[in-house]
Amino acid sequence: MSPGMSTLERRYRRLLRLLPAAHRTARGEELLGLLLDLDHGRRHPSRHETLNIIALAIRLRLTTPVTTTALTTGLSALLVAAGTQPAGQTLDLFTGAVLATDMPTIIASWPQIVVLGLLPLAPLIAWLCGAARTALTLQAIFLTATVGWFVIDGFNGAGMGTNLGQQLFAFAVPASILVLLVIAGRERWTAPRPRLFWWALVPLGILAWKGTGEWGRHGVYVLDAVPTVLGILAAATAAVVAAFVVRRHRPAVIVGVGLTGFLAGWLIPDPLLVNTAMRHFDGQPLPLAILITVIATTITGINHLARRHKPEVRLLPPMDP
Amino acid sequence: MDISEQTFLILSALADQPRHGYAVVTEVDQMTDGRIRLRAGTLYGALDRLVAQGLIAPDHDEVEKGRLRRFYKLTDAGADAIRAESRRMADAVRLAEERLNKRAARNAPRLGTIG
Repeated sequence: MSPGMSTLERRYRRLLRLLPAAHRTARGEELLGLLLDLDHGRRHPSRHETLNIIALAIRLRLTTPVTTTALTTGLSALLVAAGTQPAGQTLDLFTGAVLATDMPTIIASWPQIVVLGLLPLAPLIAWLCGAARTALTLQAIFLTATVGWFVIDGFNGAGMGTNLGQQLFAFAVPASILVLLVIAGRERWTAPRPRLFWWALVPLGILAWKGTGEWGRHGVYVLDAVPTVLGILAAATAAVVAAFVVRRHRPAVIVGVGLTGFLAGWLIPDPLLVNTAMRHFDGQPLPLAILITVIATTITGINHLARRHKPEVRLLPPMDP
Repeated sequence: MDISEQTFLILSALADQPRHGYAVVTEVDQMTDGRIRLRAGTLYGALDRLVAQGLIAPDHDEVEKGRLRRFYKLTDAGADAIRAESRRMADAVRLAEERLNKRAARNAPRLGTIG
């Protein structure tokens, strides 16, 4: 900033730091000139222009390649975790969760149970097939139905004794999916690559949820997994922060910090955090979504590193006959 | 391609000659008698989008009073978009006027019916 700069220009330059660095470098002076032309004679940026610049900064930051990748990875992880949960629990229902004496009742109504278990997979399948708007419509329908059932249960008194905090936390995941799908439809996002990885997570996710049911029944209480989950959550947060700080080595940082999440999970003291976490995480798809995000981000980081260090392929001259 | 009123006005402001951002804001303000006043962030985002769509293109840069002014010009695709939208609006106006004329004819008093 030069000493001859006006107060208004200084304030607008500070405001323009909200924009992504690439836009600031390429178009910052142009935008600054326009702002100064429009607000000529003022000492402070006008409120309308300030809010407008903030909205522009949010929109530009949401659409940078890194943010887009992070959000599409997070959205896909949430869809896998939430979408496969009912199917996994349905599978568990037919393969050991119910006593043999109660099975005839379950088998008698198997079409409805299977359909209700498989329907929540629809938004995930639509998203992986590239139909973001179809996924959004389906997710909106499911969320409306879920909230409707909750409200009806509340009026009927069936929800007495329900932990309201946990219930609201449970709605946070489908609501977050809906918001991300709205942005995805508007910005024309697609599911991240490699697609085979995400398609493979559909049956694996179903089996994972089946597995949590088995753990509960065979004495390996899910409580043991919570410190690991919290460690992964902490490592994922640290990876994002570290990636911003150490920009040049972002893939290496993400790989390194992401993998340490598994080790860090064993070091978190038990049972202090376990009880707090179980109140909110019991049966929720969020821990699985975080785990999938960290694995996907680690794979992305490894891909980036491999591409960066790939030796250039030299074209050999044709061999003489 | 359907374009919004804001986009139509920005493209129209660039139809006769290249202009920079502030000149576009001034032109749109004059064209709409002050009804639409573009904000810097809105215009910046719109110019970005229109360049990506190929409807306008950067022309040249000038420095005036220490401020960078980037001039934009309308492309052939942008001119086609304005023409198509103008035709669409003209058709809508014609249909609306035909219906208004029919309504006026229906409501007009008939000769010889009074007294």
